[in-house]
Amino acid sequence: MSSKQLFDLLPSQLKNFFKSYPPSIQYATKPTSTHAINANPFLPNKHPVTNRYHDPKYSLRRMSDLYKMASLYGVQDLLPPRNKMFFEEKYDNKKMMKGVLMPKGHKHELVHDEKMAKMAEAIKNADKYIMEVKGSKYKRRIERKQEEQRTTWF
Amino acid sequence: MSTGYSHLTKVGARILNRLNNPPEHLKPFVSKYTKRSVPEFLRPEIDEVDPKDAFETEKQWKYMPGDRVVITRGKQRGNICVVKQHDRITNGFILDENGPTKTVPVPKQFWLEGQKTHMLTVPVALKQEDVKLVADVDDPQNPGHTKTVAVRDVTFSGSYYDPDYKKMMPYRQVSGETDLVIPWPKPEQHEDGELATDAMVAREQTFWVESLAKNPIPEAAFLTIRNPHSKFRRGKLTTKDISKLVAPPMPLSDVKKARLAEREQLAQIPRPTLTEEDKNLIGDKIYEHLKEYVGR
Repeated sequence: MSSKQLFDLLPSQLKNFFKSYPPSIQYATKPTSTHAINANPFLPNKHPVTNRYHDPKYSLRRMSDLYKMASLYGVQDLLPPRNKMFFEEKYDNKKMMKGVLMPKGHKHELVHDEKMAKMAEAIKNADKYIMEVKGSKYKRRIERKQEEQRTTWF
Repeated sequence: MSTGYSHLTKVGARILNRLNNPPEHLKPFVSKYTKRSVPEFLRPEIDEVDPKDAFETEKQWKYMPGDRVVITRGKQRGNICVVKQHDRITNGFILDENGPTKTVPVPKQFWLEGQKTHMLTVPVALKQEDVKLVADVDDPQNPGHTKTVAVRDVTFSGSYYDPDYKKMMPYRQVSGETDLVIPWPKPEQHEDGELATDAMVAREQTFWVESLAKNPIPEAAFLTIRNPHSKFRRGKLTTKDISKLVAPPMPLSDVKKARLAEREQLAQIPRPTLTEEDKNLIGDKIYEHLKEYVGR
């Protein structure tokens, strides 16, 4: 099968695209004048008289369709340059989300250490705090209990 | 009900429409407020009827102006009155001075000639079921004499030409006694207007049909009464007609002109085309891809 016959096998959308935008031209990578020969149909271009940006000739959706169709036949490199990545290229250049890389944690996780320190401090001084509130009677009870629990020889 | 500007604006049209054509459950409510908004001297005593239910024929009215009726309900019960006119808004009968009346204040612009006070006594319409027809019938006990009776109801059958009404009228009979026909009253005579044609002149015959086969109008006279070249008969539009019917094209704006000039200019710039080389390049790419795919 000759090369021309292989070209004819392409889907009509791709063939029509190549007829309007043949691969022999080096299309611009950045927006240019809408009148320029190398104006990229996937980018918004500026009208030289009105100085207004025209929408891209092909929307992102149609561009994606074309790219995926072209990649089935291996001719995706002949399409004009674009600002969107697909398949492996997209996967390789993927930026992880900040939250996934460095999760902040829930509130109870964030305050856990501080809270435990505070609790330990409070338990350590519990008798002192209770005595301040309850007075000398409690102090005597504590001393008596300590006396009872004291290990002796008798 | 309408406002002065209903022909210009739709503002409030929904509300007005609702008042004019209320749903069944709101009809008593709307009629109450409509009645209240009408001054008393214009307000009918009995309910207004739907225009579609309004009486039209003699068979519906049963009693015509000039008939004698007896009132069977209200303060004037038993009074014999003469029907003066039909009240078309309420399907009621307006009777003479023996009938019911009401005394109401009337604004000055509605005063009658010779009126000296604001209070005016006006007749009140009565419903059909509140009156009975009164007629003189032959008395079988005193032959040669008549007696006045009130008729329970009347029925109608047949028809005849009534020269007083100048139209076909049904025979009015006592219900259940088809032999007892009560004649219609003589209607009030009206003076003929200035432009009226005399009845004798109208009835005079001036044309006689001589033959059914032969047209009375001579063939040559047709051209004087029918124009065969009339534009309504022709069925074709001339250039003049078309120029009158078709709007002229709008002049182009400066922007549009500039856009058209630009398009022409752009069309002259040679655009790249897909050459055979390009096709071969694409075909080679496809071949390489397929080869790799099949090889794998």
